[in-house]
Amino acid sequence: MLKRLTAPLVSLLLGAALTMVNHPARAEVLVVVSAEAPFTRLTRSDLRDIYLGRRTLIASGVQVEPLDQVEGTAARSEFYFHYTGQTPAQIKAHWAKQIFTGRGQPPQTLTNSRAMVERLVSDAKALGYIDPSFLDERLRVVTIE
Amino acid sequence: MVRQATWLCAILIVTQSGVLLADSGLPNLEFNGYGTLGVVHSDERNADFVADLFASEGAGYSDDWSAEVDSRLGLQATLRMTPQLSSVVQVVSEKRYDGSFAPDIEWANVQYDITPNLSFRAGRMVQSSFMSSEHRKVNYATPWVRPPQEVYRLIPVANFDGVDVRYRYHSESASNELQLNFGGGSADYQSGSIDAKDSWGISHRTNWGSTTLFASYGELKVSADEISRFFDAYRLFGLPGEEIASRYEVDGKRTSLLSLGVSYDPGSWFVMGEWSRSSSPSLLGDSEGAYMTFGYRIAEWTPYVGVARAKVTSNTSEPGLNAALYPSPFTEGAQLLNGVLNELISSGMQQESITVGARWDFRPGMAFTAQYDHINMRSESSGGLINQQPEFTPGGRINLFSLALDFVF
Repeated sequence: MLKRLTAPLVSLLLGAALTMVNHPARAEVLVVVSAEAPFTRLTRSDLRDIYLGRRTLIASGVQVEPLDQVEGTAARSEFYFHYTGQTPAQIKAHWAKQIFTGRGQPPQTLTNSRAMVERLVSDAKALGYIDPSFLDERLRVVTIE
Repeated sequence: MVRQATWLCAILIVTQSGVLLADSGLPNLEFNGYGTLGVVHSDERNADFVADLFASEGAGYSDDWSAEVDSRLGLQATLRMTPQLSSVVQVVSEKRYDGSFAPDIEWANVQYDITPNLSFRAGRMVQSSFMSSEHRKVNYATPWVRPPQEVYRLIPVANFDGVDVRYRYHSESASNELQLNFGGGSADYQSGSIDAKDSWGISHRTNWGSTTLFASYGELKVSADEISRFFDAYRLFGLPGEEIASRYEVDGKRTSLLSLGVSYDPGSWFVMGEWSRSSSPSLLGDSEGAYMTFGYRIAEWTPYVGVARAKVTSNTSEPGLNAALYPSPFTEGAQLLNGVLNELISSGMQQESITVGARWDFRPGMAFTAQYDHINMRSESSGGLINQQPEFTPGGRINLFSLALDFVF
């Protein structure tokens, strides 16, 4: 009996330990906009509100359209864990509340950092996040305060 | 009302079609859905446990393990016609008063965003009476197998046909939403229907970092033909009957509901609680309910515990008519009426419960939840149990075991 209980318990604790290892405190994604975008700074709470659909305008009155990478990508999990402290399942539950109460749809998704870059350079209102290796001169890194 | 909303929708589409052509990517149609496959076991065999007060059968008496208490399917279409104009239609299939799973329209409205922060809706909506009322059927979006009935049953939350205005505003680091609504609705049950007229409500929600604060107040006029006929019978007994009827009748009186909620969710754990009070100078009386739930997240697992309590604060018995004053058969009639009246005013939910459960987010958009509830019904209360058999004794304790598979797509 004890043995049967120990195995799931060990795997549970191991799972918890692995989660902590998989989420280092330092973000491995960069929050970026087009070089033409009218802003280069955002507060952490603005960024969070924009991605959770609570706000579309930032303090300066500029309209921002957030873009996501598809579910299951490392960049997406990293981005949400670092800036909202939430797991993919929590983000999914958040959007279930929004969608089924008529409060809107989640951000448009792109397949990877490359697609994200192409979309960002063509839209000055768009806000996205990419793997640092995809950063080029057409983009600007947004400072998160 | 739904028909009027559809007309409004059509008119807006025609008048806005210029904008529609100008913007690329619109109109845009999205399909989403949610559902639960769940089974519940109740150890009270002489009555049925139900999640929805209007369901015809549940777990316990009708079924040892019932798959009809929590199982449901919801499908939604969201049409965005212009950047300002959108429409939502949501259809839900779940156990109904007539025993069927016939689909019903839960949401059907047209929304116009006057500014990105101010929107107006007309059609069918769900009132935000409690913190999770609007998404109470989307079990994937809540930690439990079902919302704590001690609060969510105070007023059977149902959809309404009407209008609402939502205003979002932002302060330093908080985002807020103020909502005002007005309308009416009706809910069918086995032997009649309950209508709500002139109902209005105001609610406010603040998201500030990991903290959510919620408050709402609303009033509605409830009426049910069956109850009106019951008090018409009382009126046959002259002045004393009139007095009882005017004191307890529901028709034309205002029921109010006040609700406060708070949640703190920094990510790896959460705590949430709500307190609510409903008051009505009628048969419905005054009731209070509260719950608190605490959960901890370990990788894909979320174990949680909760406590809840509901009580009736108005009187739960009434001497009624003095039957001895009337000649037969009025004596028997008065006794019968008094019996039913006392049964009705003592039927309010009075209980304490403990909930222990765990949720497993085993793949994106799917979660499996196992939950145990121990309910201690106080002072002769039958809680929210239906189909009570002659052998059923109120005021007991029941144990519930629930398993649920929740999904969204």
